[in-house]
Amino acid sequence: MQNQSQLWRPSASIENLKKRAKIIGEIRSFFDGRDCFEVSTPLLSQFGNTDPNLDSFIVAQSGYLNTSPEFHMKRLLASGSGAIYQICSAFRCEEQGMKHNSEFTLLEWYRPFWSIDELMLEMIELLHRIFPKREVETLTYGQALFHATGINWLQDSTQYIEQITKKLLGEIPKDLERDELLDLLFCTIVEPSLPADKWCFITHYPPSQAALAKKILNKNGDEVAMRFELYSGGVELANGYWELTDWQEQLNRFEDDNQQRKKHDKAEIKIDTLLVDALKYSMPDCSGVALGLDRVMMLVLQQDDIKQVISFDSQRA
Amino acid sequence: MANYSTSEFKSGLKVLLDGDPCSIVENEFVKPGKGQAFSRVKLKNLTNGRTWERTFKSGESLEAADVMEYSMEYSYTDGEFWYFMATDGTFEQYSGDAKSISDVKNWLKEQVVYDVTLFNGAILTVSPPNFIELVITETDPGVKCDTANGGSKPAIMITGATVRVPLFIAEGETIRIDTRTGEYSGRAK
Repeated sequence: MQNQSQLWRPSASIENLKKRAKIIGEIRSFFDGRDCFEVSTPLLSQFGNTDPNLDSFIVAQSGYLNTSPEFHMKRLLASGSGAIYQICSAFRCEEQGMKHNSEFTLLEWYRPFWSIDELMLEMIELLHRIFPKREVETLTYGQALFHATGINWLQDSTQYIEQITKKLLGEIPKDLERDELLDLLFCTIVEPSLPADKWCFITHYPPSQAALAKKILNKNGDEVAMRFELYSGGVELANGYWELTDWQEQLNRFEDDNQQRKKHDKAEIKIDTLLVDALKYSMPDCSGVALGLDRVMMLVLQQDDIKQVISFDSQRA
Repeated sequence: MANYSTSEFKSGLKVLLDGDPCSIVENEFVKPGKGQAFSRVKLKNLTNGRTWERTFKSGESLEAADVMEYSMEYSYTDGEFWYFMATDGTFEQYSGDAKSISDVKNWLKEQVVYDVTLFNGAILTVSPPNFIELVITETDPGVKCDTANGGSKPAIMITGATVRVPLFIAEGETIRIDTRTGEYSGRAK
C-alpha cells in the first residue's frame, strides 16, 4: 500500500531523472545537423482525435488535450516546414499500468519524401546513440500473429479466431469484434513471443488497423496498411506510418471513426477540419513515427515500471 | 451497491463475479497503442478460495461485493448455526451455517477471537488464529515407545479434531496447535 504521506515525493529517483535529461539531450543532438528541426505545437486543441481506441481528456469549453502532436505537425508539413521533430507530452484517458501513464512523453518526427524503411533505419540509428547496438528483426503482422497463434488474419473466420483466443486465454468478454480479438491476442500472446534481445519491427498491418497509414496492395494482391511498430522485448516502443495524404480519404476515416465510436457508446469527437484543409492544400508524401520516450527510458535505465522514469506519475501528479 | 470500472480495479477490491464474491488479486492493463484496451484480472473467489483469471474490455464494470472483515468472538452453536459476537464494542451477533464454518470447525473454541468475513451481512468464511489451545478428550495412555509412528499417537480434541501428539501427552491435558498445519506445537502454558 502507498503511504499517503510520501505521495509528495517524485515517483522516479533523482538519479533516473538526471539520466533521462542526458538521454533527451542526446536525442536533440542526434537531430542537430540532420536537417530536421524541433517544433512545439499546442497540447490543447479545439479538435480531437477520433480514433475509437483512444480516449481524449476533454477540457471544458476549450477542447481536447492532444493524444499525440500528429495533426498540428502535419499542418506544419503541409505549410512546407520540411522534416520536423517534437518532444512533448501526450494524454490518453484511462491508460494506466506498469507500461502506461495517462500523461506520457512522445518523440514524434516526420520525414518528407522518405519511405518508412528509411525512417525505420533512422530510428534504429537514433536508438543506437542511447542504447548498445543490437540486431534488428522485421516481421509482418501476419507472420508474428501466425507464429504465435497459428491464426491467418487474411483467411480465418472471426468465429475461428474467437475459438483460438478462448483456447489460449480462457474466458473472454462476449461479442468481441474481429479487431478486438486480434488486439487481445496481440498484446497477450504475440508480444511476449517477440525476440527479447533484438529490435523487432512489425509491418504490414491489416487495413482495418491502418489508423492514419496509407493502404496498398501487397505482392499477393491483399490490401495492407503501411504502418509499422517497433518492439523491444515484447514492449511496444513506436508506431509509424507512410502517412495518409489524401484529404478525402482522411475525412472518410475520421467519419468512420466517429461511426465506430457511436456504435460503442463513445462520444463523437470534433473532426479536425483544419487538418483536412491542410491536406487539401498540399501535403508532401512523407513518413512519420512516434516513439514512446518513457518506455525507451525504461529500457535504457532497466526499469520495469513506467513511474520509475517519470518525475511524478498520475497518482502523484 | 456501487459498480467498479476496470480503471478502478486494484488488488484487494471486493467484487461480484457470476454472483460470487471475489477479491481482486492482480490487475494488468494491456493495450496495443492503436488498439482496444483490456484488463487481465486475477480474482480469488472468496466462497471457495479458487483463483480465476478473467479478461475484461476497458470500461466494463463489476458490481461491488458487500464484503467486510471483522474480528469476532465465537459464542456457541445450537447444532444448526454457529454464533459469533463482534469485538468492536457493538456486541452484535452473527451466525454462520455449517458450510461457512466448515474450514474452522475443528478449531472453534468459545471466547476465542476469529477473523470473520461477512458477505451481505451473513458469515461467508471464518479464519482461526494461527495457534489455538484445546483440551484432549481422548487418547491412549502413551506407555509403549512406538517408534514406527515417530513416537506419536492420535488424540481427539474437545472440538472433534484429531491431532498427533507425543506419547507423553495424556487425556485431559491442554495443548497448543498450529491451525495452519493442524499439528501439535507444544503443551499449553
